[in-house]
Amino acid sequence: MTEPKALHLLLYSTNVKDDELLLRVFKQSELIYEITNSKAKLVDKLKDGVNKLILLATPSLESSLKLYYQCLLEVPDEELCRHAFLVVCAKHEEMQAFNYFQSRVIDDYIVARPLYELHRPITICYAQLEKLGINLHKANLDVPLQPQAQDDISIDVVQEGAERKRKLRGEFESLLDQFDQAIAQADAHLSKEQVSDEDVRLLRLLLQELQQNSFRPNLIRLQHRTLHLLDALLLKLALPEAVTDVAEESEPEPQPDSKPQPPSLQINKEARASRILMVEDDNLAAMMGKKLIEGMGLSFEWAPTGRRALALLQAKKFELILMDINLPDTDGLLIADQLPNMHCINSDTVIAVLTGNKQKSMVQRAVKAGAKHYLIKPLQKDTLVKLCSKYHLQAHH
Amino acid sequence: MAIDLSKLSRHVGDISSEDEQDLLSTFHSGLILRHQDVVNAVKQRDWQRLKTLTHSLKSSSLYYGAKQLHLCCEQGEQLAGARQLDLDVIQDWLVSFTKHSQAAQHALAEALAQLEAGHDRT
Repeated sequence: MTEPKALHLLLYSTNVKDDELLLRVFKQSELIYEITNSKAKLVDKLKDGVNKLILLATPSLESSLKLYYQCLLEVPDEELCRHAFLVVCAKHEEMQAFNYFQSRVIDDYIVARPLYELHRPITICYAQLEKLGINLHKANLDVPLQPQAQDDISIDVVQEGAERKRKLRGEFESLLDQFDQAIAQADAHLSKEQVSDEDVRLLRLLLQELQQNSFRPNLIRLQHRTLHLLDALLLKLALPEAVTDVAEESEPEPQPDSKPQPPSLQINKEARASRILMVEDDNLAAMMGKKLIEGMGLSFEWAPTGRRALALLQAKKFELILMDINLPDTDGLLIADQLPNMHCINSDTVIAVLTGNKQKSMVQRAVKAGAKHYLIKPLQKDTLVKLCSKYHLQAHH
Repeated sequence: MAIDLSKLSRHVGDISSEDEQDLLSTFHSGLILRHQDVVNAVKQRDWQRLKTLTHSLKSSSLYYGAKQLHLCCEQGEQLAGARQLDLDVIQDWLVSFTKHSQAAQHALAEALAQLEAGHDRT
């Protein structure tokens, strides 16, 4: 019995008839796809461990965004599978979709209402899948180039060039496969405490080849730092005394604590405590923020990434957002800029930028993005009390 | 004075001495790890990483009032973000960073020991 092939694309469609042409195009491709209109299935597919595309086709761009980020909120970080989030949009929504793409709220979009460029959805899907490590391109050129009169030489040039690119890609991918296998083998040996000189030698050899490989230079440049780190670790394995150990990241979770609130805050035992969202990738700053905010009788939520922040902003009402600028996956100011356009429950929530960056140009960018305050880290109690008082935030005990 | 803990409540509100002890312990271990990260970043000439680390430490050092360390990290962040890097200047900076970081680590350890001794007496 053959195993079912892994899914490439999950299409969430509220009305399949609207997407009939799109589906016909998908059928002509190598894509393995499923269609659903179940939110529960969408959540399941976000945590099934299979890299894939999630494509949402709902009546509007905004409703697709809301649905996706609601689902994302239901999946813990550690269970979330690698995926790209795409939306189907109407022609008149293209500008907004592009803004979301630039802010990384979405990974890409397909203008399919109407679908002018018939095969564009396939090129978009293939490109996104390739980023996830899935290559659906055909190995050979199966459509022969049509020779034009008196222009046969240019056809040869194209064919030779295409062949050369295919060869380079093949060599590179084969090298990656070898490297993958060598790592798996060394890992298996390591778990049995049997790492041999041969494992280290092979890894070093393949690593050198990878570093020297000039194919896909952008990717190589991005990987370069990782390779250097791995190189240093391998050197340490070979010569333990030669390199200092690479220290682990300390990632303390913000710890809950409860302290009396200052008198300047409004205390209301009936109403819920005002919620503050802290978008911050530094664990220590988040832990301190949590202590301070909860100590004042306010409710604290933490988003260490831009995506997590967007999911929370779609799901819960906050009275104040403390936004860092440098986030691992995006720029906090881009989120601030997009929030009013997202027409969600937090579109009018006050944003205070909280950053260590004192540059005037950054302050100007923050103002342009709609931030009401620009606070320099670390967060101080007096500053927060003033903000709470200004916006009538309610403490609760 | 390498650190000044009198300002801690400005950042975290009023806390018990047990909580203060926990915090100091977190600051202390965090600083040791970050210090090693900084050394490694310089060793590997990973300037982007150095910039990120000094940017983060620049702010967090103020929780425990390590003003000199804060200023040193600010300088490190500027150096790491510069278009042209002078390795000698970076090495000099690392010496200065090590001095301020170790002074802050030492002061945090002392403050921690004093707090622990206070608890033991009660």
